[in-house]
Amino acid sequence: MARRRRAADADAGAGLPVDDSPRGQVVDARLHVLDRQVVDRDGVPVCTVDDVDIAGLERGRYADGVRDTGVLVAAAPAGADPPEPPRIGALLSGAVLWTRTFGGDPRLGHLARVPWSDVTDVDVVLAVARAAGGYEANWSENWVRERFIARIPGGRHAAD
Amino acid sequence: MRLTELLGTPVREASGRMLGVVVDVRFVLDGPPAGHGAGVVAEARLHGLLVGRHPGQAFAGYERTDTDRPVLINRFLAWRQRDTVFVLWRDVAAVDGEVVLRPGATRYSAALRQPGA
Repeated sequence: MARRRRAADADAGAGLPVDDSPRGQVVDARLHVLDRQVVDRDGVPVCTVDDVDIAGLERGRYADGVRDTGVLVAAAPAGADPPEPPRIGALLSGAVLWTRTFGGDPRLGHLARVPWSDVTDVDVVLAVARAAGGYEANWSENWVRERFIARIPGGRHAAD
Repeated sequence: MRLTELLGTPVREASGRMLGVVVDVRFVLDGPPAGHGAGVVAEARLHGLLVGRHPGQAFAGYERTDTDRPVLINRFLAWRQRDTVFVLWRDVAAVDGEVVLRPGATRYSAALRQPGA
């Protein structure tokens, strides 16, 4: 383990100090959140994470709420109390294949939101507290189930 | 602002020197629970940015974690990402098309350490 740690330190910027200040679980968004599967309280898949909404980080607004300059400023001016840092507001899911292939950004309104306040675990998958059917990310599956599957004899209940 | 808008954004030091681009965004889950439900995790506060020169190869995180298998891929990707550094969010002065750091901003190792590990 010690040898592995030394190797990781050497790889990730030899001679630089290591930031030991975090007191909670450390999550690198691209590494631990993006493209991960979201499952509900029963382990039923909800969606995959296609993007993350970072609350408190809007364009054209001081993060400390002082004034609108067209420039987003992250920290307070020197000497002032630091503002609350931005935080994850929601996990976003939607049709991003086109924009990932050809560039551009999908419109925010076209992405379904899973509030971060529903997340109960961040691991190999992200777990949420509510049932999968309660999220709009599942609308297409719900629509097919209600319009088609439910009309098939026996389609309204699980197999015995 | 969305995560994918931030990824790939150029990062400059206060002197104007180019440091690289944002390859990942580091959050810390601490403080009060993010919601009222049972077992919800803490709010994920933005802690800092990982800055490197090869954003397309940073997805695997070999330069940050103890993962060292397969050896050849580990060695190659870790070598390619050897100049990746971590800067604290409090050292960020502005984000507007590019990220500008404050004068005297400290560059940390990109190594990912969980508390108590």
